Amino acid sequence: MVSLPGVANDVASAPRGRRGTRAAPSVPRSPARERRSRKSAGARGTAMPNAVPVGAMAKRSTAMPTSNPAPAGTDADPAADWPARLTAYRCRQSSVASILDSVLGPFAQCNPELWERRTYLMLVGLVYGALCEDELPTAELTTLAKVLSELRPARLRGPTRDPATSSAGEPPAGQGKLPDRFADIVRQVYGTNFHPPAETTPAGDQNA
Amino acid sequence: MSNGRDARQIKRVRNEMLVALKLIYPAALQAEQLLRSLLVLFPTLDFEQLRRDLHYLGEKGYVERVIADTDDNGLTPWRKRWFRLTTRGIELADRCIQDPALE
Repeated sequence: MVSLPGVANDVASAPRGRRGTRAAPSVPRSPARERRSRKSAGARGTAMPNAVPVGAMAKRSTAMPTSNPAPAGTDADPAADWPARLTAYRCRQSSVASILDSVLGPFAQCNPELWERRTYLMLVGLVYGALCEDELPTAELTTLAKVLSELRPARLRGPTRDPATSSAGEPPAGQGKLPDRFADIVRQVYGTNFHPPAETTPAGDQNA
Repeated sequence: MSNGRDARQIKRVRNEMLVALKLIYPAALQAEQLLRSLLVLFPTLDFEQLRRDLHYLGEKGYVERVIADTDDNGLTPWRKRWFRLTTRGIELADRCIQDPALE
């Protein structure tokens, strides 16, 4: 048992269990670690998901961002810090969703059929799962989401060209000013020649 | 059958399920991924509870299963099944409609 400064003796001396363990400094718990913890707890014959070695908790506390939720207590206990935990959780979820939308959203927008396809679903699920793991701090995810959001307008405008590689003042073929003749426009856009509909002209009648 | 969960706890879990699915709408999530995400908030949540809640939300018309082209409809395990919000589900998550059972 680790005695903590500022913690009352009755709490520190409480039976080692949910509340006793969770009286330690707020430590976020990742789903993956939660499962590992459960497995190890099951192997030891205990049913306490919070039974984590103190050393592991200390190591985890140095690796975790401070903005992560600190699941003090269990979900069965309506702890007073529930709003803070919920806010931190939703902040992370929102960042993950923003990243997903920035990276994979355009695919869905251009082809709704992808929503039903396994590939798209797998991508969304895998990226979501990877980002929700606490290997990445919430602060970094939030920054990435902001950067992607800021890049979106530029990306929608199209790729930027390096002015050094393009000829001075001349737009590349297929971009910029349209040709003067309608037939040339059709050839540029569709890659085929434009054949105007046959009109009955006096000259045509004469040729016929 | 509620496994000791009180009404408030049940509502919280179901609400957070809707929130998580709303964030990635119109995409879908696997039940396992949803569980792993929710474990951050509800460390004692187990998969059977989540499955019951998914079933409940599905029967209420808020969540639907997405069957991928390559999924075998009857044999896919629950953990590997994909779910997403329905139009009613997104309306509820956006608070356009109200459901007293999920308030």
